[in-house]
Amino acid sequence: MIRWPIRKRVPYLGLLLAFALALSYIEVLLPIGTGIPGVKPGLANLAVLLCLTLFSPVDALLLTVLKACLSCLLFGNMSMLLYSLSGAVISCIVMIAASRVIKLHLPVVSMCGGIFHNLAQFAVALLILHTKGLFYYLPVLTASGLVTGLILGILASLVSPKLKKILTRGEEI
Amino acid sequence: MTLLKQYGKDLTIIAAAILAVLILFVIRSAAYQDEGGKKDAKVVITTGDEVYGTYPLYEDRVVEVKTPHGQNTVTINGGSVWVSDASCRDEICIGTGKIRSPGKSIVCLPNRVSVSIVSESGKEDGGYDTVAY
Repeated sequence: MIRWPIRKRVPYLGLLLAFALALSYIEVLLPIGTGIPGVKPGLANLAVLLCLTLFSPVDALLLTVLKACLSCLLFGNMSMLLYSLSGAVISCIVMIAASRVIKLHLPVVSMCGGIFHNLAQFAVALLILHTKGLFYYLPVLTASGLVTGLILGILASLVSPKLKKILTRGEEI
Repeated sequence: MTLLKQYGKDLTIIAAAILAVLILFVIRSAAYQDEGGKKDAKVVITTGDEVYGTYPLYEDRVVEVKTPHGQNTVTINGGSVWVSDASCRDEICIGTGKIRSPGKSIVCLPNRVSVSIVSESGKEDGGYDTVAY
């Protein structure tokens, strides 16, 4: 974790937010969907993961909320906001707990985040739709969260040390 | 050993998550096996206001329905039902084709015959047509 004053962190947080939105856009463009609603790679979580390892948990939470709101405004509609916000915030909180309290490694942190993202969205869908048939999707959603989270986590753990080295070049951490 | 010490917690969490997912899949397959509800589905044939006959959907047979207005041949085969022959003018009942899910029906208006699939578990609907969110 890089301990910088807020004025030095802000531009990088902006970059990470832009990165997250770009990834959301790529996700909209690419037809990686499996045909099952709710199952998608969640690429934008990569930015949150990097933020979590590079900066503080509060920054990651802020990035998550902004990312969810802005990507809904840009690529979706406001009815999606409830789903994406709940999923993103819950997964972010879980990831903060996993990385800072239990001190797990990044791939596993991301896996937990992926699972809880889908669980939170499932809970919201259950509250809104009141349909029992949704339970049919629960195992699929958890499995997809597990797999995509793990893959993204491995990616982030490969990138973040290099990024940290670049960011802190020539200064004491 | 150092590897286990370093990654022990992570491996435990991964194992727990995979186990949880597997348990969920097992629960789902157990819960939705008897949920099928189609196995006990019945074919109800009515003429006018009277029930002509009730037959299990999963027993193959051919039923000749004779009414004062005409005659229909209802075929039940492999979980689907259709009217294979009819004496009526328009033969809309034949044109309806095969039905296979609870709640669906075939009607022959000239002969006043209707064939419908009813699920024993009381559920008329055979699932959702569409879900929007």
